[in-house]
Amino acid sequence: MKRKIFLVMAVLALIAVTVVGCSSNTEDNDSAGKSEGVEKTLIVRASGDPMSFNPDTLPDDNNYHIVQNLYNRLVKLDASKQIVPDLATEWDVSEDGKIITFHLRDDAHWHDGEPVTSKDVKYTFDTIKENPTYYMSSRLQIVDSIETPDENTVVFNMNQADVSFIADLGWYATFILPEHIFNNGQPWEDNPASMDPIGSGPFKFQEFKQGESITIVANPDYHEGAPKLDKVIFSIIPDDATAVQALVNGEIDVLEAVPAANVDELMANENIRMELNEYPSPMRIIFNLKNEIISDVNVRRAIATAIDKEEISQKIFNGVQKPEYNMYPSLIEWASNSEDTSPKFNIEEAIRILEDAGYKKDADGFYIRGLTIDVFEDGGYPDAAKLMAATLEKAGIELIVQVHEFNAWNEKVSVQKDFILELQGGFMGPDPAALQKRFGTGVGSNYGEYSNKEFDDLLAQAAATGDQEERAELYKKAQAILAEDLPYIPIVTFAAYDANNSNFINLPIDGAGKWGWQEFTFTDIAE
Amino acid sequence: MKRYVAKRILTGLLTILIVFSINFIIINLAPGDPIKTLMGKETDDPALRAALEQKYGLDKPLHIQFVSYLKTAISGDLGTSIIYNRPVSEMISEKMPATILLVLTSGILSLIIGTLMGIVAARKEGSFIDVIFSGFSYILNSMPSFWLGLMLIIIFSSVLNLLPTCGMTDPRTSYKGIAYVMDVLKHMILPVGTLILIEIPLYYRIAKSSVLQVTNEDFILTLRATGMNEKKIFNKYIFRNAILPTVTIFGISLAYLITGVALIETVFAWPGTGRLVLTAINQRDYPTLMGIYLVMSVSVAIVMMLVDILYAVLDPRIRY
Repeated sequence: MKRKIFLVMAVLALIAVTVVGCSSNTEDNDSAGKSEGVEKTLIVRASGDPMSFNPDTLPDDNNYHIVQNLYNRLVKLDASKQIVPDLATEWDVSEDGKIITFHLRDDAHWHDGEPVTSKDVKYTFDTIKENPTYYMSSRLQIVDSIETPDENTVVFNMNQADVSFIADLGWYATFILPEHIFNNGQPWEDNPASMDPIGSGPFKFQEFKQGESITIVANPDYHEGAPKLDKVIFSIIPDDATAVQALVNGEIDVLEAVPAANVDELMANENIRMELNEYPSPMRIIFNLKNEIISDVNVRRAIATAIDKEEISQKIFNGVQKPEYNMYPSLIEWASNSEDTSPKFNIEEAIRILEDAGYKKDADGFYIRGLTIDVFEDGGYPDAAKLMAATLEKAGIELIVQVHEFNAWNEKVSVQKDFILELQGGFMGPDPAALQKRFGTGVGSNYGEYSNKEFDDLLAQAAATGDQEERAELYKKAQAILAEDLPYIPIVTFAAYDANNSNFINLPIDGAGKWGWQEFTFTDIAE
Repeated sequence: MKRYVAKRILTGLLTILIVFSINFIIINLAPGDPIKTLMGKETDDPALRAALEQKYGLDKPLHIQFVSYLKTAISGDLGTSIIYNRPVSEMISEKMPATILLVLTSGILSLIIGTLMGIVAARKEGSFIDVIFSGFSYILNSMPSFWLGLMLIIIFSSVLNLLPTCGMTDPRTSYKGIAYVMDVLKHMILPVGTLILIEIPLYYRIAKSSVLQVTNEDFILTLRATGMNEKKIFNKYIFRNAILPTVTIFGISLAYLITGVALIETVFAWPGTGRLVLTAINQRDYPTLMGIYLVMSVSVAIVMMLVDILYAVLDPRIRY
């Protein structure tokens, strides 16, 4: 009998060995013959498998940093989250704001050698517009027609003036795709070309190992000059703590958004360069204005006055994410109003506001009871909410913190709109017109169902003019209205350290005004 | 025996069908849907949501979704992942080898080590070695696996610089043949080590308690009274009787191998099926989840059947 057990084990061990053998057989690529050590390779941490390499069907954060190196857009966002030229070297907006003309560079080529032309641009946006499941489709309904007067000119004829459309073209899902490859009758999501991308970007796609890595190699014919690196490998490491160790051990070179707990440790490491990356994505409380208690602006003002943003910033984010008072992120200086802001922390003042509005203390010392705040379990949000509840209690406002898993939170807050207060983050760029997308009457992301005609009008006016000073003026007025109505309270800014191997220079973070937010075209090994 | 096997297969099939239905209900009861992952975290566009719900049939009533899914599953098709737009069977099978490698290696090693430790401790109950082994096993048993994994990374990779931090291969190189096998083996040491440490207490406790139990049976006392050699009593009578529960545990742990080591796979960035399950849960990728659970319930059913048959072989008293 012992022999039988031994036999079973031997068979199992054999299976284990065979598995190793088999997987090695499937491994077949072209590295043979290359001299090791001479190649300049950069390894970037990726947190998950990309859904697809088609950059335009859906906004996928797991492919976004990869496709920015494979494809080009008309314009792109840089590290300071401002728009810089990409395929379009310049663009003009007509007097009435309804015609936008892009002038394309004439030296861009696809990875197969074909030139990039205005036809490809038209094909890309026409296809997105026709397919309602593609991310930018409903945004593109603003475009009546796209004309291509010559190979390097694209004209967008719009049915409504909106200059923020240009900024949207520099964000998710607006990459120009090659018509001659994709236009084969198959939808993009099922198109084999989506898994074996031919782009026009600084790197060419080489290999995708499921769950392990994505490798891209330099495109020597890139129109802005051949990249300095030979290869960029995106190594998939789902766990943040493991990724930090991999960086410390030199197994990866680039780690975006270091967990706050590891910042000091990495700062002290001389092989690692830490740079603060700030985003216009403040943590914020959204009020459900359909709720009876919350619909009273005095209650909202009292809550805003009784939240200690300084304490939240220090205790939960080690001061990396700073207190935010401006109603549009202070990071975008030209548009942010720092005069008409949300109130400063003052518990006595909060109590005074409630008493003046006629609220009475109950036996337990509360003016208002039964408020809840829905938060998702990530990024320090539950802890921040608990600190808020503690200071609010001192002001006689009871706030109960309800923590959910992200998808469950989203279902409750955004689909069912079943909340009183909720805590969220999210990008408020790429243009201040995002204020309209977040707080305009009746729009999808306006969970609190805020509605103010004057605010809507100001934003419509701001979108219709190309003049930045005039726009800044209008957006500041709109923020003054928000500061008055308080449909939401900004709490802290969003910022995180990017950690890079200090042997490399010209990383994405260094490219404000020059290159894209996640592109490695100019990255090189320091001399 | 033949009738018994047929009966077992039939109950196995019924179990799978029931589990399948319960899974479908539970997965769909969970709040949230895959649409949010598709739309991205940044925006909520009602028009896009409606178009995507229609495309994936999520706007249809649940019972219609159930019937259409059951139909494709019965025809042997696990469906297509909503998130990755690829056949679920392909996604599972391409990640299986990595998980099997990890689970089998650590399973067999911890089975051997844990059982041996248990036998030694049971034969010398109360001795110094028993105290040490039992203490060791309690400490390991109370350690969270992901924490232990991270500690091993910090010790062996970051401080001692002996082993790679994570992954299955070194992304900088693309080895072939024997160099590839060595690379994988090097990357395997920490995750397999963590799993062995975590699983040892399981086999240790089972082996120790069942050896003790059998040793105290009357028939052992009788055998001793006959003056039979201690060694022969142990090898022929105690061990064979005491090993049965260990076989069951080993079988069960193999059946759960698809999802069982998800946390370890996440910590060590190991490209296996456990991570696939966790991701699918987070993204509410219904077809992938249903597919994995189906494969899992089928393998549990099969393994349990095999275990029952193996029982009959190991223990001649068991006959049906």
